[in-house]
Amino acid sequence: MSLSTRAQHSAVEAPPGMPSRLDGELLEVSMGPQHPSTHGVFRMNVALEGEVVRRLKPVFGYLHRNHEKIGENTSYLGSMPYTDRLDYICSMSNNWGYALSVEKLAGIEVPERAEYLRVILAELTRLVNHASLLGFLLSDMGAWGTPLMYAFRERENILDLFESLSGSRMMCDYMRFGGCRCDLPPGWMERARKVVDGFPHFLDEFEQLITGNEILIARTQEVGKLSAELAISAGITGPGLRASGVNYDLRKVDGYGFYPRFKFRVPLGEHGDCYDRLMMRVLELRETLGILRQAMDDLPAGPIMNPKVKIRAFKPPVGEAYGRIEAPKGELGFYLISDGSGNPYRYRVRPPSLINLTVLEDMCLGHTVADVMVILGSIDIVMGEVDR
Amino acid sequence: MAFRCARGNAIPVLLKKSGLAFLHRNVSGFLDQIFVLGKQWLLSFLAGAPDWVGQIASSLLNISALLAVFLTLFALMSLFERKILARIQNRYGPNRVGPFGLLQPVADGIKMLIKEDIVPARADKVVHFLAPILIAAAAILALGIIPYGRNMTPFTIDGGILFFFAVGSTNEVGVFMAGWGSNNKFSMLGAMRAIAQMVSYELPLIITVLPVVMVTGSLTPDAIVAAQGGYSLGILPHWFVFTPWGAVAFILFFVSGLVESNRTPFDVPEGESEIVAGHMTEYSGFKYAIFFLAEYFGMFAVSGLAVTLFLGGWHAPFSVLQFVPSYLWFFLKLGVLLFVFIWIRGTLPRIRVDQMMSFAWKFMLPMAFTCVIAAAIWHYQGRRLSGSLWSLGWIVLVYLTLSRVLGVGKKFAPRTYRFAE
Amino acid sequence: MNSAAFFFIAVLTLSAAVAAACLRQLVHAALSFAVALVGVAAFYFLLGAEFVGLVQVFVYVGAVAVLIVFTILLTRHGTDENRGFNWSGVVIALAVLAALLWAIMRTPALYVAAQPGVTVTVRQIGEALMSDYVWPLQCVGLLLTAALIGALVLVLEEKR
Repeated sequence: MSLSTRAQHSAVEAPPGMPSRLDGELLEVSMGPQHPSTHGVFRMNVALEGEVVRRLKPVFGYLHRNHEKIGENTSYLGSMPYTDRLDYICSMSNNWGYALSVEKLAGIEVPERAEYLRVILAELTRLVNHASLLGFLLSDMGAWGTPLMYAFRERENILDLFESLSGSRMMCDYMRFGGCRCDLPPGWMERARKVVDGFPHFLDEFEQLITGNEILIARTQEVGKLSAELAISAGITGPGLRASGVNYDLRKVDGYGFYPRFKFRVPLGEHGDCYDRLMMRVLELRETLGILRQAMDDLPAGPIMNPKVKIRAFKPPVGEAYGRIEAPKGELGFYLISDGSGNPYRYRVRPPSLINLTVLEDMCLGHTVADVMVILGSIDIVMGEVDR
Repeated sequence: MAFRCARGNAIPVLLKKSGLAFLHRNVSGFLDQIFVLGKQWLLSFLAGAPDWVGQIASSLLNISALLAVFLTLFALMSLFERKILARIQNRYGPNRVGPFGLLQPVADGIKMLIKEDIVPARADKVVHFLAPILIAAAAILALGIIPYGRNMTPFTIDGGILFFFAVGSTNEVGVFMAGWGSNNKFSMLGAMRAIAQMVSYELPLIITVLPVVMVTGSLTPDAIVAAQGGYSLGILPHWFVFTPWGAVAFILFFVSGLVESNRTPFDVPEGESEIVAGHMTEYSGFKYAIFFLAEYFGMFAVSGLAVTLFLGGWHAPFSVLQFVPSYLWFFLKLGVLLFVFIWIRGTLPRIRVDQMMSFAWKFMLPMAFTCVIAAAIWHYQGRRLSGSLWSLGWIVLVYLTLSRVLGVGKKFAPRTYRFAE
Repeated sequence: MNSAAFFFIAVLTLSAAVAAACLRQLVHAALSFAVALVGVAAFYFLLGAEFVGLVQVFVYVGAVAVLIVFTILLTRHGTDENRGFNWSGVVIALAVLAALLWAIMRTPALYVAAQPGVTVTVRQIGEALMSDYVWPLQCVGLLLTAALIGALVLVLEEKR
């Protein structure tokens, strides 16, 4: 489980002549960093006995770009666009997580309209993330991208919304501490409603075609089981934790933003296998649609930015703060220490992808190579966030 | 002589004598035999040459016709596969090169040709080089025994069906050579998977052919097609797929064919998301294209054999439609089967290796044997309705027992979930 | 033309067989062995025994060669170590050759002129197998089934 105790690079040397031995000895295969389905530059050193995984060492860091150190040498505002690049599928929720911790650090109030907008955008991001995850997972299972293309059709609609709002499809850089950058363009809400109203159609189709598919069920059920104890002690969060049956959703636990004002349920799994993890996403999508409808109905008028905050020459008081949100992938936390200057003394990200990845070996042992890809896909990682 | 004319030399003689008058009388018959007549016309130039020259020329003509047709079909198939897959996936597919993207295969071919051919430094150069050749040769040879139309079997061999499987079995050696020669772990894993699945699925593939061979009493594809001629009431053709055992055997054969040609959901040997490209991982450029070609040719061969064995070969579906040339029927049926290949590819996720193996041994094989017995029941009940019912009952009985014994439904089922408020 | 074909196939088969005996790399030897088997099948075709030729390809190339190759893969340990010249192998090979030659020389078939134009169809072979030779056929089938089950039992015990 702990990665530091294990050697990151094993000496994988092919014996002279034939590289593979299938006579009971382990065959070491290095999957990645260039591999069709490792979700970016991720590498797994897998020791196989036949097809069965006996040892698995995740190796990452190929996408490391000094995110935290850069954050310590940039102004508080300057880090905001960088957070887009963490989990590049969910830039809106990254923005929110960072904004939330800075607001906590400096004790900034956020206007009501901005909070509603944040909820709407974060939940739209959840739609994007879960829909693409389902597509990618099916692609890992060899469905040749058909579910992925349908998921991307929905994703495109939402990205269009993001684009018209923030000017960028993926790197939105939309939120600011004390509110949001700009108000909704005219007609945006109607378009967003249309997207949200059209989404259940996709979900129904997906459930009808895929979640009952026998091959999918046979590939995911009883594969990659994660017990609730291990999940808790390893710090797993998000749908992966809830699939193991632990009722832990920061939107309920912390009640940050205006989430307590909305009615929604948290789906819980029982077996903690890949099928449960997949179904958590599907069920969460439905709840998310409910939150979106409520937020869109209740969206108040008013300012979107706290006028007292000088975001350019921003200097928070000395202190420290940890802000966390329920990002689509799990608990996304930002830990900030301020020494009173214009940039943080310490800037630390708690990425859900990385922490959720730590149990990969425990989940994979005893399963086949084919299952490893499904398990990895069901964990839902983005390397931008794992490596930072 | 491979292309034997049913009416002897009557047609060419008639053609010479009466020319257009004959055309008027029997246009459809002429169109049906146009390729056979064309070949005989070409061979007539060699009338004075010794026998063996004629034989070799005839074979060469057959081979070149076969290659020309199937290479064109390969190009078209690669295009249509991408197009259809794109439509299934809510995309446009290739539409840049030529009108409607029709020249895409040409562009692909040029790309493949001018790509660098990379051979790994520690690969076994000779084996690495020979593997694609062997695989492609096996795939092309298998195409040789299929009757593409009336009198249009390129090579009439007494044990044609046996030839098909004999040639197909050499494929395994080719796959092994590719996997071993590449000196790559992914290649090796892929080759092991490929051989294991080919060996496993060859059994149901061959055993599902047995009932057809039993009923027709022949291993010759032409005889099997001939046995499926004729119609009941003019609308119901006597294809084997319309008998209970034939329908089941056809489905089993088709599924095994999917496996043998490494197609989704059984594309485990080259499972892209798992082992990169299996035994083809270390191939690039034109060698890779050859593998690709062999895969498609294998698909054509298996579909063609399925058409021959179960779908009545080149026979028309209704007796009133018999005026349409026979080869068109064959290629239409082939096209339908190929579309199903593509359709399945765009629809289903991949199955796991162990699941695939247990599927082969626990389900496919018993069901294949069931078909053999069902065909015997059908035969001894006089090949009538009662025989059909008896054999259907037998198949249903075995199927229900099998599904109860295997109990797959109990182990895997959709679930319901609880919610926390 | 037939003699030319015979010569060509004979050279191919013999050289493949020699290569199978001489090549260092075990997999190469196995593959050359497969080529030799194909050559033998080609002989059958040349003699007009299509069925036997097809079965030869089917069984020996499709099954036996693959089996050999698989066995090499699954069991190989040390590779390429030079163990010196294997005299016992030569002795055994010579003994087998002598026995074969003796058997061939004794068969009357050698002195009977081949009847031209007799092609045996698959149907005839099938009928012969199902009537005159049905007992030997069943015995062989039983033997093979027993071997299959035996192999399964061995593998299962090893796993446990």
